[in-house]
Amino acid sequence: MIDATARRRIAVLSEELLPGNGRQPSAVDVDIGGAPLDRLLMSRPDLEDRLVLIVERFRDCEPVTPAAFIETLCPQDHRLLLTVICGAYFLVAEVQQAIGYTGQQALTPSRGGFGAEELTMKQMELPKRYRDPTV
Amino acid sequence: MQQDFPRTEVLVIGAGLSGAITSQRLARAGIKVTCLEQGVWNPLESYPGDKPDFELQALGPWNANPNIRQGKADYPILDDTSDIKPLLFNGVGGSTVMFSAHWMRFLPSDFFTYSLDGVGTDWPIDYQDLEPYYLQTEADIGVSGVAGDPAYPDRPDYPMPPLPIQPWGEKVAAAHDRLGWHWWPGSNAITSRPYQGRRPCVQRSTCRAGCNEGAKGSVDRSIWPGAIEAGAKLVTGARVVRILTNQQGRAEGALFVDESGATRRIQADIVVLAAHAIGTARLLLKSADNVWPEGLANSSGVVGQNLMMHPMNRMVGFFDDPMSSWQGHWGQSIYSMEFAETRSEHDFVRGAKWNLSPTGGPLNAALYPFDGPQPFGKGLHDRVDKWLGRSALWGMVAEDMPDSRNFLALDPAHPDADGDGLPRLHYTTTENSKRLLSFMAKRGRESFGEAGAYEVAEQTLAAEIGWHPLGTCRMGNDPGSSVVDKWNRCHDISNLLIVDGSSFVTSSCVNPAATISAIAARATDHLINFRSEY
Repeated sequence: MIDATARRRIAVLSEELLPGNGRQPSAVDVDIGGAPLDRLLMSRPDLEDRLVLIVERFRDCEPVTPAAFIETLCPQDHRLLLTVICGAYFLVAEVQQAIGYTGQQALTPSRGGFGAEELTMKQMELPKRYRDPTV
Repeated sequence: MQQDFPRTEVLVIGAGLSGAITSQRLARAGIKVTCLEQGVWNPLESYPGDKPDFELQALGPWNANPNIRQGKADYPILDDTSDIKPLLFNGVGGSTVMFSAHWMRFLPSDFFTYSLDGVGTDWPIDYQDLEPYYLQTEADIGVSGVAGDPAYPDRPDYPMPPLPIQPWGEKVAAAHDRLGWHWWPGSNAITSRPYQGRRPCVQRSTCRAGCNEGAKGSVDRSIWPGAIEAGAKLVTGARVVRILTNQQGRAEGALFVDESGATRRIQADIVVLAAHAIGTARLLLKSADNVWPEGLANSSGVVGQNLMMHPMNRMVGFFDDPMSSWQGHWGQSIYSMEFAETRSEHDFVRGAKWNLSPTGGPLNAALYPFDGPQPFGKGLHDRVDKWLGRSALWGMVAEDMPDSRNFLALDPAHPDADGDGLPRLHYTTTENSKRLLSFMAKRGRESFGEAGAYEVAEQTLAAEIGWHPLGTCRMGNDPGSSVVDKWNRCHDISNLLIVDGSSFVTSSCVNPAATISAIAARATDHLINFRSEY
């Protein structure tokens, strides 16, 4: 269970991993420990247990800085934390708008050519380049 | 207690690519066929591609690595002794549910690696033997592409024209034209037009976790509906535990655990294994008994040996131009066979096939496992900024050769649900593969550089890339060094066939799906036409 204190700690860690950069909001700006985290955990409830353990270790390490704590994480925990924070962050509409991401859309199929048709014809006119073992 | 299941003429184990093709052909020929599949049949709407959390799902429940996914139909595959981690899917459609649908024939030289290059072993069949079956299975599955590639023998038109090669494909095609290098529009088992009741691709780029449109030719959509309509019986949630043989040394069926957990026995005149190079070899080894102490049909000692895995590089080129490269079939936009054949001036033999693709969304960009440390903070923002919509990816597939260090075995120290050892992959990347991929990485930088990329990032000898396990029950004329003959019949047991990628002799540098399909179709036709001899 991610309580309010754990959410605050996740927010502190996320500020280190995803600060603002003028163009995009920071993870804290989008309240990463609130609704975005809930949305992430609804999608990936399997990540919660290990996330809680990581956050508890951070609590036990305080007053170490978030950057120093992140350095202590094993590769698997580092990746899990990034998956949670980035996964929640990039689901936020405001973030998607800031980075120009429209989501994976269904596009109307083109009935025109496939592109580079003239270059394809040039390739077609080249000599065969495979080895023929029967020769 | 074993409960008998209705008897069948032909039992097919595995509802993936080769199992589907085999079942469809048998059913159309009026032969009673039952296929057992340990997984389920996922409905189109269950695929995550059309949902906002697609990228998160693809990293977890829809991850191609069964050890990460840990689905109900998955079993652990011990891979800490393997440089390359296995990627596959257990369910109706098999790994075609998750594959990228590149559809590539073997080159004619691929069947003669020993005669031509002094490595590997020659196949007992060749390109001409498979050519009619390449054509038939392309039509059955629905492949889009354009004929006329100088890297291949002449062939008729594809069933459908190629998918758009996209702005990144056009950049790299122009670059290869300037370099004098080969390139060709991608051939994919993905519809570019309405085809046999399936809709055309909408370029959503979520192909790797199932296609919500049914445009990708995964066989749960392209083959199984027709197979069932023709009379094939498909039983899901049926985990085969052992192949059964009788005192005359013939296969007589299988023991399986059904979805209620009951152990059932099904009898058949003929048994066909189509369970993937890992699943098939595993099942033969699990079926060891007093008569077959080293595994069923394994008098040669070759079952599980000769494991090949297709080592790969991945390279991402970053461009200034916005190209919306999170969209686009994935799928290959274009491919290059420039370095596919052996060249005497290289310090390696054989070669690699390159495939160009889009690069996914922001989470993929943030977490991509490039060589080097994972960025965070400003570095992470910078990476997503330059990646998203402005990049393209070369995948470089190296031909793998059989090596005595590379094999699958059951590990008794880690028992499975039946008390048998779990399958363990032993795989070490060969020095030839390392030299080959080092060369390809340098050429990849040239390719992207000529195309206008201002930066190129690499993931050399990628680990999470084990899409193509092959060779563990290989084909050959000599029963002392092969498991199946040129018709995919086991040398040791004449009514037991193996029609999946485990029957490969060498791996080529191209994706194996087209050749698996052709081999399965050819073997099944022989079974149908010469049934009385089986």
